[in-house]
Amino acid sequence: MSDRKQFCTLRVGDLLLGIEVGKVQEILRGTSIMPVPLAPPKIRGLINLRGQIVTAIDLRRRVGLDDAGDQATLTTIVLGTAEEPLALVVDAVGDVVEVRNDAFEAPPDTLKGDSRKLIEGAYKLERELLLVVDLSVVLDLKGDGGRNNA
Amino acid sequence: MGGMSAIIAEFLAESIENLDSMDQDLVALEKDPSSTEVIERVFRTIHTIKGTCGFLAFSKLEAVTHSTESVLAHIRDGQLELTPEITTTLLGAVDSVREILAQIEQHGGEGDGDYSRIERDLEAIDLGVQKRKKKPRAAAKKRSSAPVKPASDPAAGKTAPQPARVVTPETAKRDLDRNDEKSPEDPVHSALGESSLRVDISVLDLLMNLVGELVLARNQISQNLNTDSNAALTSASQRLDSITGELQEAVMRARMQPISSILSTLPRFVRDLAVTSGKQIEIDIQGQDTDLDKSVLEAIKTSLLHLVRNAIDHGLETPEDRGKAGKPEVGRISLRATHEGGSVVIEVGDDGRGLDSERIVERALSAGLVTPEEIVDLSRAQIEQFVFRPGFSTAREVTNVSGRGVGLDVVRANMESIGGAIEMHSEPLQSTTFRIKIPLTLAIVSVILVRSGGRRFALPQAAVAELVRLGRSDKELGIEKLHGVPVYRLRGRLLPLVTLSEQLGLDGTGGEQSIIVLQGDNRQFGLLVDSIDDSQEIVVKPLGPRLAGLPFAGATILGDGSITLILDVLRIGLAAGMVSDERVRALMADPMTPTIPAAGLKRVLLLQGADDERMALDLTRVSRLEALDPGSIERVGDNLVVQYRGTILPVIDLQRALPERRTSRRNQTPTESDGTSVVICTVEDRSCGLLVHRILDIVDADLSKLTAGSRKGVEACCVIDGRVNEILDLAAVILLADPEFLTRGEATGGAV
Repeated sequence: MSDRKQFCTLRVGDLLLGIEVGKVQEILRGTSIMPVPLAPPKIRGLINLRGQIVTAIDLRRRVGLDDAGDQATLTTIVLGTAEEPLALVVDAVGDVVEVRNDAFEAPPDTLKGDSRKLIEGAYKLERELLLVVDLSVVLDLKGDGGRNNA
Repeated sequence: MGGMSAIIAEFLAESIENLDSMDQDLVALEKDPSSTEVIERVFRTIHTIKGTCGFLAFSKLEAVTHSTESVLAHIRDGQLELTPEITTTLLGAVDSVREILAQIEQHGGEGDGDYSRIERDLEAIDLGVQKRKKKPRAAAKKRSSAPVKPASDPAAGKTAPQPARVVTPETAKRDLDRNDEKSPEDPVHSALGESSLRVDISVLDLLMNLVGELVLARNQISQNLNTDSNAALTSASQRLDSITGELQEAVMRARMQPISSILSTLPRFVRDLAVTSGKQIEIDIQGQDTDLDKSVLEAIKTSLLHLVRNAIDHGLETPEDRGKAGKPEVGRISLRATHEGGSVVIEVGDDGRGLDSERIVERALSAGLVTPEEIVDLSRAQIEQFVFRPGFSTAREVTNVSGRGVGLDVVRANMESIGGAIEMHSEPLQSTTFRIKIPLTLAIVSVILVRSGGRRFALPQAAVAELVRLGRSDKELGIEKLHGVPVYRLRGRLLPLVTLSEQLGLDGTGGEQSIIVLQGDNRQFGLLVDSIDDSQEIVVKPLGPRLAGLPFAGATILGDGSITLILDVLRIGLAAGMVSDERVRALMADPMTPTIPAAGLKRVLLLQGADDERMALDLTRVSRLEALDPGSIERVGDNLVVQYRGTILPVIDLQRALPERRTSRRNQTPTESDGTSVVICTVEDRSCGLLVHRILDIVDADLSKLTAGSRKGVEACCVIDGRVNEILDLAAVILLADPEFLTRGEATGGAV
């Protein structure tokens, strides 16, 4: 148990990303997202999750990709964060994979720019690399924690 | 904090609560040293803290509380009289204890603060008593009524010993506030202890959220039920309806706290300020048990303290000045909280010098807020409004207490952010009174739903002054451009306009059909929207910090499950330059109607009767104006009712209620008449609908020249806009129509 970790895998563009299973609350498919005028583009909008209002962050835009052509089926990962309900909009969600801790490596050099900061590191899977998302960076939209006391 | 054990957390919560009441008790004790009960309570508090912290090994805390306890024991035993100096030392000790408790709460340890000084002071007092005890002299029999414990030595000296350190230089304050009138409160708390329970506020928040959801789910069910007609389901839904309503009310009640919970620090606060400012002050608090939602209480706490501080610093004069002005030396500050409909009104008043309008004008001119030409036309009430402007202060010098020019503007912003309002009234040289009106709860807000740029938004009703619907032809005629700013002529005045969809960067600008008149800084402005849909009571849900800074006050989920954003009117006004923009203001030379009608004017609703007679109704009595379908008015027994927002609202036909002067239209039923405008008004907390022929306008009328009314239900007559208007006496009209209206049970409905 202690030398293995479980990740929920997801796809954004060509990237195979992973979020620790424990941080994922649930996965929604085909939810409607209400866009918020004037909000930063990385915020996709608000989701009504059984009466709770969840802020949805577009992971595609967050890693600097253009919007995908087909936006008909939105998949959203609701995160179990303590402070406020948050969700990530992704292209697709895959299986849960189990990896050995010793397979962990620093982010590959091929990752450039902004997206590199978002990645904690990588696990080598059989066919490709699983990039572990650093949620604390991904969810921090302003660099100052999004704090605003105005 | 996370690792703090439950026993320490409990100790902290209890001690902090007790210390707050101790502040109050000490100040009360200073006024009335003979109250055995209060001294016992103070003693017990410190004793409990001392006992527990010995057990928990907080040595510093134990040392301070031990010395405090010794001094208190002398007072309790009648060997020491409580002088203002000793009180100050004791209050200092309470502060030290509070400080250590805060350290423990934040860091888990007592911190490295140095409390030896306060300990020395306390010990000096203690030693003074000990010495006198050893060589008892003939006690100066100053007060034989001093509290005496059986165990103590009654012969011991009762004169006040000189404390080792005189804390405040002003010894003149020694007889501060001696003239008390009521004995400190009864020990109600101990009786309550048995039947109450400490509940984590987050549990209540969760409950409140869940109930909010339940309300929405219920709304969905009842909406879908209209198409179906399954009798069993309908009755089940009705039960669900009423239970949900009751549950909501109960949960709201659980979140309510008496306002006294935030006023407990006030006597101490006033005393400290009195000492530092060299003034003599008496504070009178009324309506302590007025209940308010916990979150509202938190939101208004600092503002209230600010107003009190303002009253002491700016309002009240020094004892000498008061003497010269022929006033009692002791200044009076009164704080009064009352329920008024769905709101709570808190008044903070002082009998000080009032507002010096000349000084305000002087300041306003030097700060460039107005031009000398503009000043001439301003009424006193309008001039007084300047004190709510950012950075405005009339204090001659910056004092320790206030006068930094940050103040009333912040208070006003705070009040507005929770949907409240603040007004001020001042009599020169006599008094100043601030009046705060705040909603009972922040969780549920009534909003109007508007459409703009193809989207739906909610707008808090508290912010809305008026709604204007533009006809197609009106639109071309009504909206003009003045220096590039679109304006609308509203009753001859220019109303600057802001297009909502433009402000929000939405597409689909151009279909605007309605104007929502909102209150800006000192002047109203209009928000152009496509249409105005509906009004609703909604549950506000906050937006996360990632969406802060946007012009939204929150979001809500409507009955159909869709999310709707709640607009933040102030932010929209700010973004559009309608708030705090002096340039735009200067452009509009004529300030729009101020929040408070100018002195002597009263805002009234003008009505037109079926015979073209004019009537006026005090607008404070009116809660809403509705256009109802004539068919929706039903007859129950002798009375008319209408189903309104889920309740049965009694309706009174104004034309029939008033004694007719002519008999022409007497026997008409309301459904046949063309009057379907209903004014929803409130009398003694009961709502009723007033069926009127036609609603004309809302105006500020000068009601100083009145003549007596000529028929029942009419208070007086008065000329408004060149026509004679009968001013209606609402209560009398209702009684004419339905003599039992006020005595019959259940007339008002609960919130949705």
